[in-house]
Amino acid sequence: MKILFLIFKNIKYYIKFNKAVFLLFTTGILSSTLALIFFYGNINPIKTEYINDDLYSRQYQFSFFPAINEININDMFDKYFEPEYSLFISKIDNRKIKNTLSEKELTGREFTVGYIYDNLDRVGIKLKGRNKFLESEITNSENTIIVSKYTEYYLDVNINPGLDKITINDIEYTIVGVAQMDSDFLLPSTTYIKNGFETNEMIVVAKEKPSYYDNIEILRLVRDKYPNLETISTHPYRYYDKIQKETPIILFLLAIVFTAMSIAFMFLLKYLADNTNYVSVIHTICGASKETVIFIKLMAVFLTTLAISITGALLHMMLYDVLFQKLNIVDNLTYNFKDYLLIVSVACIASVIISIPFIVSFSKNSTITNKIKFC
Amino acid sequence: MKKIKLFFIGLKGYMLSLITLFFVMIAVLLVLNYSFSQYLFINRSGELFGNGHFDNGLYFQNITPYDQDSQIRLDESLKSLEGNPCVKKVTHNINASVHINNENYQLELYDQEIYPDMYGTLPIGDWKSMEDGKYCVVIGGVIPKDVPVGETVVLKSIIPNNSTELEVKISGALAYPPMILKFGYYSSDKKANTADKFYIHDKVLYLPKNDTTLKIVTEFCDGNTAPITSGVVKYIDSATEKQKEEVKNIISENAAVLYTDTILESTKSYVSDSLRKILPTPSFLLLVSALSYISIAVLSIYKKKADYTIYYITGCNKQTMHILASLQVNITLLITTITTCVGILILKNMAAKGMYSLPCLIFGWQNVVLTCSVALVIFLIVVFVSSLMLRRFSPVEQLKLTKE
Repeated sequence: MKILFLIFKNIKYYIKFNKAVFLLFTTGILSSTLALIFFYGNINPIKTEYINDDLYSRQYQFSFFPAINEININDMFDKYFEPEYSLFISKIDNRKIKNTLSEKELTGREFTVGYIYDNLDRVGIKLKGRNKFLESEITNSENTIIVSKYTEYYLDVNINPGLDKITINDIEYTIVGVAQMDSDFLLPSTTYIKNGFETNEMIVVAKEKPSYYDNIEILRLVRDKYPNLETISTHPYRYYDKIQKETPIILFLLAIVFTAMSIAFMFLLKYLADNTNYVSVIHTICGASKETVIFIKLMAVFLTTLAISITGALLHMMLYDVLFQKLNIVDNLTYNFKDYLLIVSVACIASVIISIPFIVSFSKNSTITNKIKFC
Repeated sequence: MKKIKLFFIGLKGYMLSLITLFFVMIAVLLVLNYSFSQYLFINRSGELFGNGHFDNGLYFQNITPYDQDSQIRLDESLKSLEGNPCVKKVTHNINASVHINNENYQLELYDQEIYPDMYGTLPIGDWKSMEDGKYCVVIGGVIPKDVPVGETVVLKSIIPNNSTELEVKISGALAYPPMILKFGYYSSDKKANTADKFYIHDKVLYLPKNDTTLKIVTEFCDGNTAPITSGVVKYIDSATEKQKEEVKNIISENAAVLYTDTILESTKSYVSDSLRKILPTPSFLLLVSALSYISIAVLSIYKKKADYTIYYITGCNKQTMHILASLQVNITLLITTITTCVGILILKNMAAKGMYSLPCLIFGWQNVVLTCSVALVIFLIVVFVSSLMLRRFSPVEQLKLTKE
């Protein structure tokens, strides 16, 4: 308690000795903190990945073994997001495909047959014929098929949409188009179900990225509902989870940036500390050990920086919508309590580390020398 | 002499802080100039694309160029446009790699209705087709004043065993930056298709496009020029929306398409948006470093307040006092500014010579002006704050403080 009182007294002496210099120090650390908050949000890959909203960061990919018959995705995700589209894929052995298009022997390769649910515009880029199924083909579960460009290349054939046919599982399908797409073959959804394909893989793309905690819930739900879930190849926060491990490195780099920015202000602090050293001499004469005196001085720096950086964080929070959001390089950037806490911690720790050489110089001299020098 | 002596006395005890300031400020000015150079590049590419009359056209890009069939179909659709009444022309890159005295260049065929307008007046020479029975080329990617304009050079193929040679006359040189038009970018995000994606830094020789030069370039490529994977279909002014849509449908069968007006609009909004996105980072850094300079200046005055009182009593005039008060900091600022400007000019010179490529950046006199302006603002603030502080250390004020 006594030490805490002495720490606050030390800070009070800093202010009392030179208000202008202390004000300048406060302004400097405050602006450095605001700059640190800006850099933390805008050039930190963890933050930018968290808010990334491209197609891949809204995508789930699940693999099942053994394959499953039916999945009702509305039941599963309705509570959390609206799917933009889903792709269900069945893996089939090459022996189940009869290549009547060319003489190429299909060996040693698995083929994928899929269907797209709900959004038929997401099939892929049309190259020949159609890249969409007609409404009639879907309602009548017609045996029509779209072949991927890669499969056409693999089969070593020039497909004529509407004329060529291919047989899968002893069922003949009329090829209606060639497209650049994720699956080797694509069927109308009703045809896929009617012909008894079992799903090995499911890709679901959300219209809007679910929150981090909703995502954890979704993954748990899928695991619970499908015990035969083999792998989750991707989910919206997969890369974020991966790079989160790099947080210490990023914080270390930010601490270096903060040090570079605030080092000049530490000379101001040194000036204040040097001119209030007589207080520390009195502490020593009254029986305080050198370690205690250094601790008091370092804690004074720590608490001063803590107060200023908390003010900076509060200022940033309050003026975020009005000012700071407009300065952001990254769109839709948000800061949470944890972010501010990390920034304030980095600022305080960096300040204490920079101030060590300035403050420790006091402890090099004996009490008598310090008394002659400062009192 | 006395002032210089006083300056060096003033430096005592400040070397560490001044050296720190020097390095921090160099880093800040480099970040500022890097960001500003990005903006200059985006702005300049928007200007060039606008000058090239690419409006009222359709940009196409084969997104599966490795697919031979798809390329053949695209070639056929482009050929089918030849007789189309609403199509004025199709502009695309045709080039070959050549060398002059073992120095590599891209020999590029240029459209005489587009390129001279796009690049504007040349700093040296002019756009010419032929002179003294020889083809004329305009050279880019080298310092214009180093170009032997009016001289004849021999272009040789870089392909081994290809003996094709062409004697050309250099009729002019492009100004720095060497921004060469190169189609070939496409993003499904329409807003991302901006003009800056179509310009690269390269060493180039622009040769006027006609049937004969096309044959020559083909010979330089061993008889096979690269396929037309991207370019712009230019419509006639009177083309109706329906006609434009028809052409679009033909090309879009085998390539991704985008109206050039969309590219121009995206570029305009990108140019205005880029300043907003580029400037905050250096602004934050500048604010902090300006405060650092002020801090060191103020600290220097506080530490030497007794000295200033003595100077005052011994007859030093106010003007000299003010100069002395902020001299250490301002000299550091001056050295930092000069170092940064010299660095920028060296970088610019090396890039202009083609010694290395600065992708998506332009360094120019604008950078020097910006650096000097920023330094001037900091200088004025430091001088102002120093004078304010100095007023508090007059002998009268000091006496008052002592009495208190």
